[in-house]
Parts: sequence; structure tokens; C-alpha cells
Amino acid sequence: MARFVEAVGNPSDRLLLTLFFLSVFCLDYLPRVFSTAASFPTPEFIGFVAIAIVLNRLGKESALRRWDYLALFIASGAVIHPWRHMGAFALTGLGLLFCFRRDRRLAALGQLSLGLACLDVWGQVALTAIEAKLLPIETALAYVPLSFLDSFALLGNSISHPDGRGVTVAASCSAFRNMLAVALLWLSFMKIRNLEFSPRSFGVLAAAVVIVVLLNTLRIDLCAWSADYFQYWHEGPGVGVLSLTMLALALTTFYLGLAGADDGGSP
Amino acid sequence: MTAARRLLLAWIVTGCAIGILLRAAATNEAARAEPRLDFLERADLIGKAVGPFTVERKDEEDRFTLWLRSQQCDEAIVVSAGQVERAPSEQAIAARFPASAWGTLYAHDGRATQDFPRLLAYLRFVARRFAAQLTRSPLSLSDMAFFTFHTPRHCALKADSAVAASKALIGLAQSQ
Repeated sequence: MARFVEAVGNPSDRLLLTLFFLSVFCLDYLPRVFSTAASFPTPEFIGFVAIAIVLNRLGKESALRRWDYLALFIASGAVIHPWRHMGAFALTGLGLLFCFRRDRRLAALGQLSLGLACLDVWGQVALTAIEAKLLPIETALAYVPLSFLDSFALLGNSISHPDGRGVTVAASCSAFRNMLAVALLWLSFMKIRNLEFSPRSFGVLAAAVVIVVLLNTLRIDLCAWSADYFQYWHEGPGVGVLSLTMLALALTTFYLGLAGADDGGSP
Repeated sequence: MTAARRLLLAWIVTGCAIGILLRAAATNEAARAEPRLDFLERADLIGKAVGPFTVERKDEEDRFTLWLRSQQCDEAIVVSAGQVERAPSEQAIAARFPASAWGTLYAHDGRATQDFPRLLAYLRFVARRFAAQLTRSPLSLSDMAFFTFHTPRHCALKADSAVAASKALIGLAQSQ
């Protein structure tokens, strides 16, 4: 009780930041667990775990500057609004403020905040900007194996078969969001283990991205192969199977690829 | 500085509590629901006036496409409804309506143009959706939808007619 009174009476930067991130998590991310409209937000949850671990490293030191408190005040006010993307906007502001700081812990918090915001909002904006070019490329990639197996035809972002089978690749079928999710997982992994960015770490990220793209290509192929397969892999349990496989492969890649990498040492 | 920190602590906790209450109350569900371009589900469209045109038939391949009859053209004009947040398959459209035989006119936001800068339209849509969510007001279909008119090459379509037709289609969609 005495520690609680002391903590509230003289709140540390760590306590303020913890409460802010907890507030964003409870208001904008936790409700998604109970939503039937979307799958369980695993990468976002791991991102918040990484934030918690970085906050733990912050200790009782003062790390924030004077205007950081003002930024926290504004961001905390913004997340009151019930629109589910307000958390992402608040995290964007705070992320931009922190991500280039010399203090590695604050920089890590900024990078993780930006990663969460990108997965929620900015990735969708970027995908819209490039999808007209990206979707035909992803479709063509999926068409390659199918062209060897049967007489499928490719037109733009559609693959069709003379007997009526086929698939049209929409933005929601793109591997782009999965790539962002994998990037957030990688960033979280780096921050949890307190690793420095290095050519090797970026190579590991690239390997995970390749795996995700190949898995998504396989999924498009399965969806195009038959109506039953489409039902299973697009509407049915196949969606969960694929998500879990992607998550497991990405985490395994990070674990094996970054094993033995040097940590960043002290902040 | 300690006083400022205490104030911030109180603000964060209070803000979180208010945010939880606001979400639980879901005070204005209508503001979150966005209109959809699903007017083609309607069975009463055939023969309806759409601006200066009349709906001749629905498309067999695309549920967002209508064939329109006009006074100035013998052949039908084809109009496809799209959402600015979803890219249409440009190559599939080009294969179906080749530029050698068909002219194209886009209508969006009360204007008709030969080209459609979709990214700009999308950014404008994002800004309007942001403003609509902040004010808890409904988003208009005209912010979200664009229409692509395909006309036979020998038949010129006036920009005014395309704009009038697009507004009429939005009116039809919102009236259901």
C-alpha cells in the first residue's frame, strides 16, 4: 500500500508510459479479442508484450522531456474517442516523437508504436496506393505452379479455368498485411531480446517475408484449384491453419536466425 | 514537475475510464456503420431512370455493373460502380472493354474526368472518414463510390450526363 501511495504521489516516467500503453491496449486492442469480425490479433499482442518488456527496462529513471508529457496528454485524450483506429493515430504521434531518440528504450517504444500503427492503419493506406500493381504480380506468382498442373488462364488479378474454377485476388487476399505482421513480430522479437539492428537481422526478416509470401501464394493456388478447396482455405478452418502456420514459421525463423546474436547491452 | 506528472497520471486513468464507458455505451452506432454500394441487389432497377439514362439490364458477369439506354446512342452504355478503397482489376476491365471499341469516363465526387486519380480519391476518402468518425456523423456514399462509364467509341457521353447518372445511382442506393 505504501509503495502504491508513493508511486501515485510521485509517478515515474515508466508508470505514466505503462498506463498510457495499457490504456491503448484496453481501449483499442483488447476488444478485438471478443470481435467475431476479425481473427485474434496475435502480432499486436506480441507487440504489446515487447512494449511491456521495454518499459520494464526503463526503471525509475526520468527519460521523458518536458514536451513529451504534453504529447502523452494529447495522445491519452485522443484514445478516449471510440473510433477503433484512434489508438493507431495516437501511437503514430508518440512513435514519431520517440523513434529517433538516443535512449534506446524510448526509441524501441517509438518503433514498436509505429509498427502497431502501420499494421492497423498506415499499411492499409500503403496497400491501396500500390495494390493495382501488386495484386497482378501476386496473382502471376500464384499462376506459375497452376499453369503446370492444368489449363488455367491469367488475366490481371484473376486466375480462371475453362470449367469455371478460379479466383480473383482482392486486396484482402494479398500477402502485404501478413508481411507487415511478420515485420512487427520481428521488431518485437528484436526488442524483447534487446538486439541491435544488423545486416543479419534484416536478412532474417527477409527470409520470414519470403516464407509468408510463398505460403500465401500456396493458399491462392489452393483457393483456385476447386470450389471445395476455396471453401476450406478461404472461408473455413484453412484460414486459421494458415495463420498459425505462418506465425509458427515466422517465430521459428526469428528464433533460429537470431540465436546467438549479440544483444545491445546497456541502454 | 511532480504536480504535472500527477495531473497526467490522473488524466490517463480518467481518459481510459471515459473511453471504456463510451465504447460500452456505443452511443451512435449509425455513425460507425458505413453505407454500402449494394443497390444491384434490388429487383426494381430495370426500367428506372438514372439521370438522363434508363436502366436496360443488370450485368451477367459483374453485380456492380448496369447497362443503360440513352437517347443519343443506339447501343447501350455500361456503368460500373466501384469503391475508392478497393482497386478494380484494370486488366480485366481493359480486356472486356478494349480501348479500340470503348471510351471511358469516370464520375466521382460530382465531377466527370477521363482519368481517375484513385490514390488522391482514396486519401480524400480517408480524410473524410476520419472527420466523419471524429464528429460521429455518417459518411456519404458519394465520398466512397466512383462510377466508370464505358461508351461505344462512336457515341460521345457528356460529362454532365455522367455526373447526373452517378448522383442518381447514389440516390437509388441510399434510398433502399
